[in-house]
Amino acid sequence: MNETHYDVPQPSEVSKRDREDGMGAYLMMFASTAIGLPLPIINSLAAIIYYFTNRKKSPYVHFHSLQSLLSQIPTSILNAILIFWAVRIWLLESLTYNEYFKGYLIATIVANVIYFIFSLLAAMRAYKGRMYYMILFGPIAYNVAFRKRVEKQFVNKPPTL
Amino acid sequence: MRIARDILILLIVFGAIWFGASFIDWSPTFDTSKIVSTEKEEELGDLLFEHQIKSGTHGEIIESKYVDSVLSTLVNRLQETNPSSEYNYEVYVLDKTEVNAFTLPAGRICFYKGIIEKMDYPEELLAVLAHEMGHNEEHHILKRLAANFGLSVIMGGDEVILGEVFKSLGLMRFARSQEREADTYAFSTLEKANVHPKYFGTIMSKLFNAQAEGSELLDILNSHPNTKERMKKAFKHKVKGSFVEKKVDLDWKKFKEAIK
Repeated sequence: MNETHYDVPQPSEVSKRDREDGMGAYLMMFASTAIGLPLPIINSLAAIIYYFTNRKKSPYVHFHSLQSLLSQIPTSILNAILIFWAVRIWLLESLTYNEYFKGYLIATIVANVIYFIFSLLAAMRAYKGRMYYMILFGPIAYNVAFRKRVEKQFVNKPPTL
Repeated sequence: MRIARDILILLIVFGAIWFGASFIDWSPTFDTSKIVSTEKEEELGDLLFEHQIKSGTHGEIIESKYVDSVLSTLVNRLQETNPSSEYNYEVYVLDKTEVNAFTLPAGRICFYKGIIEKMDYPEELLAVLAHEMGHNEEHHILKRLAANFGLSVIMGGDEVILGEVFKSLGLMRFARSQEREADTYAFSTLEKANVHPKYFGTIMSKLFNAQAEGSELLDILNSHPNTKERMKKAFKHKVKGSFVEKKVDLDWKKFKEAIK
């Protein structure tokens, strides 16, 4: 028994509803990425809304929606910088040939592909009722979703006489 | 602790891909020089010269006996250092204020008068000339054309298609590694010709500053993105102990007047 965290549910213990919600957290990201491509802020908003509407359902759903939210932050930032940079180059046409931009473009595409693959993996695992910890985001999401919250109870005391 | 480690890993991986991708040379590196014969290259050079230069598309050739004699003296000084060269270099100055220089296949090198106006010493012209000769000696032009158009197109020799090839020539960009090779060739040639390679650095820095002032868009710098690095290399180039600098015996002001 873990004193600070709730036990991680086993696949057989996760209800079908929770599994679908867990998978949905990742799949929703793809849909909003497609819509929000020109402005990455839109899918960040969608992720935040999904997170706040689903986190109370169960620690399992809470974990997956938070991991999904966290894991898309880096790629969203990278994409936003990419668009900002591209617009800058487009407006200031003198920067027609920029090797660092070319490298950044490639690195960002790679980052998006990696994010896509790992999200898809996580969605499949979530649907099977399994936990899936991504690098960095997995442990953070676990820590938030499964930590036992000790509610401080107010203790009435007699007055000091 | 673990979080810090993970963030570090992600940052390092992204940074490595970023900088790795920035410095990768994407152009094909097969050796075209072995596939295209010297005759074919000359034929292509002639064709490009007829259509592109003689037609005046890039400004008229400045024709003057004095200019020609100066240019041939300068070319000879460099060409003497490489007697085994398969090219017979010809140099032209074109009446166009754009700051650029380029080379056609088979050793025809063209300077716009704009770039010569930026030069303060004849040695700077030699430096750019040596660099363009480097592109010839290393067969960069054909490699580049082959990469852009395909070998069969060049070998076919169709005039209409060649017309398109010309058009690409002005915008043609050499790969980073090719510029490096041409620079290396230029430095060693200059040294052999008793010209200090630092002049390549001085002309590059002038072109760079001219661009920084925003006075005009310099094609040569857009196509040469690693200008600063190359400038440094020219200035840091160590000449052999036996090196003796011999100034070019030429009235540079008179030459600049002559091309005006």
